[in-house]
Amino acid sequence: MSKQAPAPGIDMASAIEHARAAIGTAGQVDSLKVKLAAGLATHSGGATSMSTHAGTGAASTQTRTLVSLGKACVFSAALGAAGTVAWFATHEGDSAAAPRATSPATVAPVTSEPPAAALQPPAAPPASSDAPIDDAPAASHPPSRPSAARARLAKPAAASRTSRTPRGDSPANAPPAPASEVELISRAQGLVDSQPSAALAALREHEVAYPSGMLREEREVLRIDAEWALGSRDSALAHARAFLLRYPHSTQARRFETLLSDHKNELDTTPTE
Amino acid sequence: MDSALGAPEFERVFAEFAPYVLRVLPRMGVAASDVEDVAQDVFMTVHRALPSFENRSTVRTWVYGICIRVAGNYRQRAHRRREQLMAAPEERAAQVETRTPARELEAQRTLAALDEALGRLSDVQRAVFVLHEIEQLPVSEIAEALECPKFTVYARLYAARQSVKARLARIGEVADE
Repeated sequence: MSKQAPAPGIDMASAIEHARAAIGTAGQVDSLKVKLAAGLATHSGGATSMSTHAGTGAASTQTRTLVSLGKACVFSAALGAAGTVAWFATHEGDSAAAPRATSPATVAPVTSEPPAAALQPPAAPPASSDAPIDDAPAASHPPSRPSAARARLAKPAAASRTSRTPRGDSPANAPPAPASEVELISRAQGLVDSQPSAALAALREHEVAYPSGMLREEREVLRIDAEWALGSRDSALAHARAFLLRYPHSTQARRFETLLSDHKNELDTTPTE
Repeated sequence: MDSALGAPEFERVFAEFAPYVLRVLPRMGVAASDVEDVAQDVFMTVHRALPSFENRSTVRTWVYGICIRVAGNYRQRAHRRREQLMAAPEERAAQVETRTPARELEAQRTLAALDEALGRLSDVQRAVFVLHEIEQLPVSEIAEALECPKFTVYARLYAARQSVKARLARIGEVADE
């Protein structure tokens, strides 16, 4: 395959931006609260060495609050409400409602003292701590991208279908293992617009190596896109239909529903363009 | 929530830093499936040590320092099962993948590539890079958190940047071939 399109090499600045955007979501924080509440309840209620410093009344209050927090989170989750901030508020619950503890004993020996160094006034919240917890994930979790996806689907391209043999494009220090799931799907993603046949080859490679891989949903998405780009509309539409059956709740579902709807006649009458 | 005590309240510290703890741990090599457990360890440690916190550094610096140490201990414990750690980026990406649109998948892949690049750094380089580039801590705070001279931070940061940049470029080439 020729390398006409400049390699979408991963730009470090871009990677850093992605990493900065990957703040823990409200759901993750809630889940952590539940777990932490359980852990603290375990350690404050039972025989534990964890309470060495925390055995004060204030610490006990903290524990109790967190336990109730966990409870509140469970309720809020059950109700479908993600009230992240309300967790301190009122519930002075009993610890019996605390969720199960999960391996709190794995706490590693960590220096319990703050690093001794130059004195600094306590200030400066985290770099972007002004971002509310509940809002944090919004930036990195756009709901969908119908327009971009549609644009890709609307761009048939001719390209020769060339098989690629699996390659161990592993990093220098990595074991000479076959390409990872992420590598294969990344490769397909990078090629789906410019060289859809090569993208399909990568997807086939993924399917062979990871038939039940964790990225199989994305493999199917990319396969449909690549086939559409190649002009293999019948196959793309068939795969889109199959995708909807298998992943009816996928974030891509609406896109493919629209695709199938838009090309219903085409699907029913002329299998190929 | 603002009922201020002399020392920072645990709940407040948790509310303020939990999202960032959850952000920093994966970049420090904690597998997705372990992030919550390790974050729990971090806050258990915070909870235990907070009463003795003496404001010799900012709370932020202190919490990040704990994160780095807990993650380092985690990595040491996991050293014997290095293969599983090597698989962590894919695992992480895959876990988030199930409900994500393609654009987000791209972000996940980028993060997986970044994690792979970070995994090639020494522990100190990794910590310096993550704290400075991602968590945006100034060098002075990183030096405090890691308890090392600022010069060391600068040197490690430079080396880490070169390494990460080169590795990411290479991953990009692989994806493009």
